[in-house]
Amino acid sequence: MQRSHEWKRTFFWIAVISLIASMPYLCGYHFTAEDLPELYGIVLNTATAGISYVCFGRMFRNRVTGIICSALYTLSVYRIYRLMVICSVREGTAIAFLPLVLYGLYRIFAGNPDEKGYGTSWVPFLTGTVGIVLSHVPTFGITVFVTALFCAACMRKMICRKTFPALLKGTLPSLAVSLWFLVPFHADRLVRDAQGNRTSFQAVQSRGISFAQLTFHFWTAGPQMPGGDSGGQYSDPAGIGLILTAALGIFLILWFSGRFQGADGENVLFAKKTAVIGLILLVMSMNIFPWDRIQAFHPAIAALISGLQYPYHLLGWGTACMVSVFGACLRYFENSAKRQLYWAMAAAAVMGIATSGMYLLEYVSSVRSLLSQ
Amino acid sequence: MRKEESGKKRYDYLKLLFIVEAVLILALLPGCFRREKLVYSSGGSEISERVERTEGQGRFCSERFALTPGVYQVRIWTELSDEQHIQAQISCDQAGFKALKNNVVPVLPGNDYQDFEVYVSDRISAAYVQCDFSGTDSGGLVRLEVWKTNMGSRKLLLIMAALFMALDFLVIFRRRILEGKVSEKRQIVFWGLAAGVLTAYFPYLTDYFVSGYDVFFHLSRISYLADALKQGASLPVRIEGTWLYGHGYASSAFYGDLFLFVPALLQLAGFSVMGSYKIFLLLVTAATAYIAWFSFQKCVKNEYAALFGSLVYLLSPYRFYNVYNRAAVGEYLAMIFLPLVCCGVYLLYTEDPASEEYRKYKWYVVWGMSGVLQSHLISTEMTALLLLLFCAVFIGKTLRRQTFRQLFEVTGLVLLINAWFWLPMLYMLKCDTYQIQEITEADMQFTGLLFGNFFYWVPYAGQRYIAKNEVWVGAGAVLLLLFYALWRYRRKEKDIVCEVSAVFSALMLVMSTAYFPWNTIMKIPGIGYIAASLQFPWRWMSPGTLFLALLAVFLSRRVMEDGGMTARAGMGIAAAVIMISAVYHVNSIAREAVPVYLYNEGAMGTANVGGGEYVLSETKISELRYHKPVAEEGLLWADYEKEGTSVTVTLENRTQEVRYIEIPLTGYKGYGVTASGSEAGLPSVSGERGAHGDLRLEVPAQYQGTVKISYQGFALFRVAEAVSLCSLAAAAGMRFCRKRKV
Repeated sequence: MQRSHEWKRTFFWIAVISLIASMPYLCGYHFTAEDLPELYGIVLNTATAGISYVCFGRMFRNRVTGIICSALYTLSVYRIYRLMVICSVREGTAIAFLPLVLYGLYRIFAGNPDEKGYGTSWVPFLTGTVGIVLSHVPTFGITVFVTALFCAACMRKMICRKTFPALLKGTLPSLAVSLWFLVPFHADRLVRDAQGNRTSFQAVQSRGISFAQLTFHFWTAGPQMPGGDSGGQYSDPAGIGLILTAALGIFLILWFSGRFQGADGENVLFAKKTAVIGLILLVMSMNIFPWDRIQAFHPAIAALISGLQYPYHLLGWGTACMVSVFGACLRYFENSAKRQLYWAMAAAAVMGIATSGMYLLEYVSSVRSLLSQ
Repeated sequence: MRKEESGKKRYDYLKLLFIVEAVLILALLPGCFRREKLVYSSGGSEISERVERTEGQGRFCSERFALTPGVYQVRIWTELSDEQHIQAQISCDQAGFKALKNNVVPVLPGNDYQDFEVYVSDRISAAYVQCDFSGTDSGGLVRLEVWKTNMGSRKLLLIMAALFMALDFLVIFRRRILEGKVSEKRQIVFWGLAAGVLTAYFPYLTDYFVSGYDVFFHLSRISYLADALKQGASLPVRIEGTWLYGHGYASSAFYGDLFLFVPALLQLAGFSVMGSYKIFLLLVTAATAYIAWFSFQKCVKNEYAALFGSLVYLLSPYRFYNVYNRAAVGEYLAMIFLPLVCCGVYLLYTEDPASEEYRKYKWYVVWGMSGVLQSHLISTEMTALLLLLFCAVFIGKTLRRQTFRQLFEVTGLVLLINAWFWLPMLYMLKCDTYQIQEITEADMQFTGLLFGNFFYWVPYAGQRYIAKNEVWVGAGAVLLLLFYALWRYRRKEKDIVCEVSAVFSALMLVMSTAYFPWNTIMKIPGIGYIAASLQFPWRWMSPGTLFLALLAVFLSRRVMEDGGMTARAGMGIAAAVIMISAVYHVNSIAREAVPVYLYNEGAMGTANVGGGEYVLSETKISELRYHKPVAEEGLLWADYEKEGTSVTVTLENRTQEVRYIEIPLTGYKGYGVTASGSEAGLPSVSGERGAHGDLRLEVPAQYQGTVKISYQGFALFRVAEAVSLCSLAAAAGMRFCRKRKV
């Protein structure tokens, strides 16, 4: 029974994680049970930092911007919370691939179809989605939703002769590559449903967060999940933090004031769409979003939303979008006459990371040292 | 040509937007006048049949009924014996998140009628009224009804109107930006202030609120003011009748409530107790930011320096402490107007008295001082003392003919415009004895700050109320002072405003400490009484914060104008510390705040009078209960009706002697009696009060008739109100005439 149970866990989640984590064993290195997650954590953090650096650096065509965005993303409140506090390794792994998908979407929708490199624009998207689906199915679901939002926002591009095939090239192979995993996974779900083991309906709105929680800067991991009547008191750090929210605010102000007019064409357009989609995701993670009403429409929708469990799961993508928006602001200041604002914003990011991320990490490490005693 | 066309198109687009908004508002308007609709009612045997009795307790759950979005009112009639009480609420079987909002409302013995609002934001198919009895006897519950009111429509209309106004503002603002009519500086000021307001309001960006130390007193002030308005009390309201189990409390007579009309009217429009307070606080925060910026801008004539100063003021730890930890509504309201007073005084002392503009500057002080007076008496005392000190320090300028005349006019105008408030208050204080006059602070000094408090890097107290020693001015502000000291040491030329701000802020900080000899000062006859009335030395941090902000304003201007890289870096560090400290502070409040969901005033109780300062000295609050009139033998009463501070009762004195009846109203002087005639003479308010200070009526022998008792005040009150109205009219008239001349 135990073996069967273990098999199921592997069957559902451990695809990528187990492969990477078992590599040292396969290579003949034998680590203790405590060392392996540590090692995996190092690999994951390095991968997240590396992937996000490459993706954001290429998106904004500036290495410094890439480094800042990578630091903001790797040390983002939500990522640290999921990985270090909840120990959701699956979601943590999936989060590493989100910048790849975002970069893929950027290449597909903001790239020039007539340029030579456009033919390979689907590669990052494919790689990212495959990585996500093999890591964490709920994040994959959210990725599908976010991709749909981008497609809806870029409807004109979708009917372009080269864009649509690029998108198909990115989507279909990712599904094909993941079939070995997705088919048994869903088959098992169907069997469980047939046996009456249906995932029970779960109202998620009460688990949404408030605006204050979303923008919390000095986090410490509290003893309770946020939401409902417990408010934000001693709640877990489910949010994107002040710096990313401020970046969204600055971006919207620049947009509102007409500063983007005639600047940077497709890149700005994509940044605007990313900001709007990111904003939608942030609103959806809050308890003001009418999840209960949407769930009341149809049992199938209710079940689908129940699978989300906590609306703040959308914050993984929310963080990725907001880091991208931060990068867009940096790019605007880089190209504007007031270049000192670029460095001011970069300094704000460093200060934000130092005062928020490290504050949370300090707490996490103190808890871990307590546990190890 | 193209530009003109596009301009026309934009104009048409705006026009279309206004038309759509107007149509929507008009469509919502009829709902505001819709009649109330009975949703559910139950009474008599229906109630007792549905009561479940378990373990010595009874619970009544009504039949299920559907609720659509809106504001409902539950009305409960009871006849409870002394040991009984009921806890009532509306519950439901299943509903969306926060679709049904109401609190458990206690109905106490002696209170025959209780109502409370229920806020429904989504359709609920099976709601029910639940009443929990203190025993198994359900006989005390006579009848209950659930009505759908038109408050939901009013609330919706107000929300839509506010949203449309915000939308219109943004659309027009954007248009003006794109047309180049708003300078970049002004844009940065606008967004900077908006960010400051959001940061300062951060702990309330939730669906609950933070329970500060005095919050229930101030929420009661707001709710009972709304009640008084609903009951048709004459303006200005002096006594609200809901306080203290319906006895009434003269809170408004002694504690200015002019600005509380905003949340009270919001409550009347259909917002919950918590909702109206949160909106009010948002408005207060925005007003603080804007008035501070406006005042500093008038003084310094530099947008960025004024923005920096207003943020230092808005995000000061002491203001946060007043707002969230103490919920000191009066003090944080007064803090809105302090910069305006400061601005007026600055202009009167620095501008050329011969200029035409000079006579206008007094108005800043007049409106500022009036705002402070209408908000908080202790802040008024402190401001007046500081103004006196300032006038004495700059005696040379004070005695300039024009300046002295303006200061004299300021004093007169403030007194005249606010006569309706302070004159009746002083009169009431003189003609009666209240508990505030019996409170003596033996040791005020021990609540002062310690030296270490000034160096707290980041304020951390969550929402805790700290009575002593743990209030901060913030390390950023102290850093600013140190930076100025260094700057002054390095530079030879002095900036007199920086100098004065620094000295006054340092003085205020010293006065707020435990090292300042407050206890000795309290022993000095006359002065001691004024000093004791301040209660806590750290209240001086309120003007202290203002002077620090003023220092920030003028110092930043100097640094911007002629400071080197080092000076700019130093200033930047101080600014960064102030901002980070503020973010940390609001974060810690939000994180530690116990969420409070308060929708109904009934859930608060009526005895949240704090120290009961304005209760009559003979009244013991703990003895107060809801009760009916208490008459002496031979005096019969009937048809008793009470609405706020107005009581109607039919009396019959069957004896040949004067008889007394005690009415459940606090016996403040100023109550009047109107009685229908009887040859035997008419009842009047007795000079002696009844038990626990109740109002006592003297009923002549053989009297029979209906008596109406209500609070009327004194003739002096009417005179004071007339003086205020005439002064305001004269001020408005003078301004109008001057404008026409121009």
